[in-house]
Amino acid sequence: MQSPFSGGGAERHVRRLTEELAARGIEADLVQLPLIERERFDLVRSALAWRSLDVTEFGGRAVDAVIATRFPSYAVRHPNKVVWVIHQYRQAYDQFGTRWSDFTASKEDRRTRETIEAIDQLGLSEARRVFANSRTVAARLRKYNGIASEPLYHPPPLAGRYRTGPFGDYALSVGRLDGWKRPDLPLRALAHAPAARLVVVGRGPEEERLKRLARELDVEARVRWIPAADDEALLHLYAGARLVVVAPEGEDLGYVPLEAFLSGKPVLTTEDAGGPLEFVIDGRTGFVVPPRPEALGAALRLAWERDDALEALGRRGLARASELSWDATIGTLLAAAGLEIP
Amino acid sequence: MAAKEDLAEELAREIRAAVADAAPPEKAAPAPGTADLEDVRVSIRRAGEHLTPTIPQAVRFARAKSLALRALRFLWRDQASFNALSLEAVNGVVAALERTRAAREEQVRRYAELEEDFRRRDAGQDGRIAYLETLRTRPGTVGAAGSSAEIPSLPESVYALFEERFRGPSAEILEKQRFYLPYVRGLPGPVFDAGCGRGEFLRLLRDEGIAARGVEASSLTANACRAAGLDVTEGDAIGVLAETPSASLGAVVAFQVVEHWPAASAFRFLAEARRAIAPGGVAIVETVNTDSLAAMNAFYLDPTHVRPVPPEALRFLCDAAGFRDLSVEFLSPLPAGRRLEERSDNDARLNAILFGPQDYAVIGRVPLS
Repeated sequence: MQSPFSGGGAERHVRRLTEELAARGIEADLVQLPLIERERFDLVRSALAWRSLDVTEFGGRAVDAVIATRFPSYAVRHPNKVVWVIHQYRQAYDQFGTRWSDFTASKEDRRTRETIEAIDQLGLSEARRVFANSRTVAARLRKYNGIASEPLYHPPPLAGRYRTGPFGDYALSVGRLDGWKRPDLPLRALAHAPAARLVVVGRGPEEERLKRLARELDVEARVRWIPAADDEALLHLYAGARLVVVAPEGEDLGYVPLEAFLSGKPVLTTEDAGGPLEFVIDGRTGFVVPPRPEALGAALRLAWERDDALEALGRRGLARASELSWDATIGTLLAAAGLEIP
Repeated sequence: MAAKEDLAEELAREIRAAVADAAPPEKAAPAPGTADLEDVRVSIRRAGEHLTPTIPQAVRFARAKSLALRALRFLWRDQASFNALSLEAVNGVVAALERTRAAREEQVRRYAELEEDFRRRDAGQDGRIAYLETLRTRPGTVGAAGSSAEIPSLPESVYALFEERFRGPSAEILEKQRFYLPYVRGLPGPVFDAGCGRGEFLRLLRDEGIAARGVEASSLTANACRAAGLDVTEGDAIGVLAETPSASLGAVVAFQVVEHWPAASAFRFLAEARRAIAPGGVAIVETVNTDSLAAMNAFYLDPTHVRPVPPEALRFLCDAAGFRDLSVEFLSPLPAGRRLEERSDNDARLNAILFGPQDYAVIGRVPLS
C-alpha cells in the first residue's frame, strides 16, 4: 500500500526491505497499490482491490511467500503470507474519538470502522505469522483485534552511515510537523532552558503555527528551522547534536531514537511517547519526563553542560541500537515463512 | 568508566527531582478556579492576625513598645472594629462566591446532560425526517408490492442484478416451490401471485394447467415474465389485489414478500386477500424464518428488506384477517454439511436455533360456509 507522492517513512521502509532481501540473494519485488482516501468508502475499495489479488504465482512461477506490511495490503491472497504490521489504520482504532481521527459516530463511519476491523481480522488471522514493528503496535493488535503478534525491530533507514561526533550546542528535533507529534513541546521547553538551542528538521501542517509560537515565547533566536535535510545533512545534524528530543504522543515506533543512538546521542522523550520508550530508558540511554514544557525544559537545562553524562548515555544507546541488524530481521521474517537466507 | 555511568544515573535523578519541583503534579489537579479561592482564604487568615496592631516579640524594646501600644489603644479602637467588620464581610463574600461556583458547576453538568440528550434526540429526528422525505419523493409507494418498497434508493437494474445474484438460480426456486403445488390444485378460482419475481411459481402452475396471474413491482422483471408468456401485471400487489372482485380467486400466494413491508401493509394485504379469495380457497405467505440465526444472518443482505416477520406474528395476522385451518410449514433446511452433527439433544437444540430451516410459510384457508 502506498501513499503516492508522500515519500513517507513507510514507503521508504518497504523499498529498503525489498533491497535488503535482494542483497541476500532473494528474488523479491515490491507490489504497491495507492491508498486512495477521497471519500470514506475508498478505504474499503482499496482493501477489496488487495483482496481480489491472488499472488500465489506469477508468470507461471510460484511465489514462495508474501510479506505484507500495511493496511490494507495484508488482505492480499497467498497461502504463505507473513505480515509485518507497520501501519494499522489508527484513526479507526486508538485514535478514534480523539482529535486525531476524523471518524465520527455516523452510521457510515461506523460501518467503515467495522469494515476496517473485519479486513484486519481477515488479513491478519490467515497469515502464517504476524509481526509488529514495535511492542506498541503489538499491544494495539492484541487490544483491538485480539491478534497475537511479536515485535520485530529493524535498523533505521540510513543504518551503516550514522556517525558519532562531538556534543554540539543544539538539541535536535526531527519529524513531520504534525499535531500529534507535538513539535510544540520542545519549543515550549526552550522557554525553561535559557542556554539551550534547538534545531527543528521537518515540515508539515503545523509549521506556521510553530514559528508564531516561537516568536510569542521569545525563543526564536535560539531555534533554527530546516524544512528539508538530505541524508548527508541529516547525518551531520545527528552527529553534531547535544541530544535529541522526541516528544510525540503514542508513537508506533519512530526511527528518531534509533538514529540518535547510532549517532551516539542520548534521547529526551516523554512518558507517553509510546514506541520510543522501548529503547529510551531513563538514566540509561536518555531521559524520560512527563509531557510538560517545564519538565522537558528542566531536563534540557540540567543536561546542557554535562558532557560526560551525555557521553555515557550515548554510548549505551549506541550499543543498544547496534544490536539491530537487517540480517537478523530478514532471517526472522523468512523463517516465519519456512524459508531461509540462501 | 563506571564513574561516568553513575554520572548519567545521577543526572537523570537530578532531572527527576527538578521536574517534580518545577511542577508538582498535584498543582495541576484542582479544578480551575478553586485554587485562587484558596489563596483568598489564606490572605484572610493572615489578615485576621493583624486586626489590631501588635509588637513582635523579638524586636528591641518590645516590652516598652507593647506598653505604649496598650496606652494608646483608644486611638484605634474604631479602626479595629472596622477591620474586624471588613474581614467578616469579605468572608461572607467568599462563602457566597463558593456557593455560586458550586451552583454553576451543577448547571454546567446539567447542561452537558441536556446537550447529550438533545444530540440523541436530534439524531433520532434526522432519521425520521429522512424517512418522511423518502415517502414524499415516492408518492403512493406505501405498502407497494414486493421489492418496490425501497427501490428508489437502488436503480431497478441494480436490484434485478442483485436478485439474480442472491435470490438463487430460478431452477432452484422452482424446485423449492414445487412443495406448494398440492395446496393449489382443484381450487375454486385462479391463483394470484403477489410479488411474483421472475415468475418461477407461475411457470410451475402453467405446467400443471392451473390458471394464474402475477403482480410484480419491478418493470424489468415484469417485462421479462411477459416475454416468457406469463400473465404478469407491473404494479403494486396490494393495489391490484384491492381492485380484484370479491371471492374471485382460488388462492393468493406471496413468497418472500411480506418482509419488504411494514406490518400495517402486510395486514392490509392479508385482509384484501381474505376478501378476494372465494370460500374453499387458500392463502400461502412465505418469508424468512426468523427462528433460524443462519437465515437471519442473510436477512439484511437484501437492501429492500424492511423487517423480519416471526412465524407467530404472521400466523396471528392471518388469523386476524380471517383465515382458518392455519398451519406453519418450515422449509429449505440447510444442507447437512452446514449444520452441527447431532450427537446429543443439545446439538439438536443448537441446530434448531442456529441452523434451522431458512424459510417458513403460513398457510390458511377461507372457510366454505
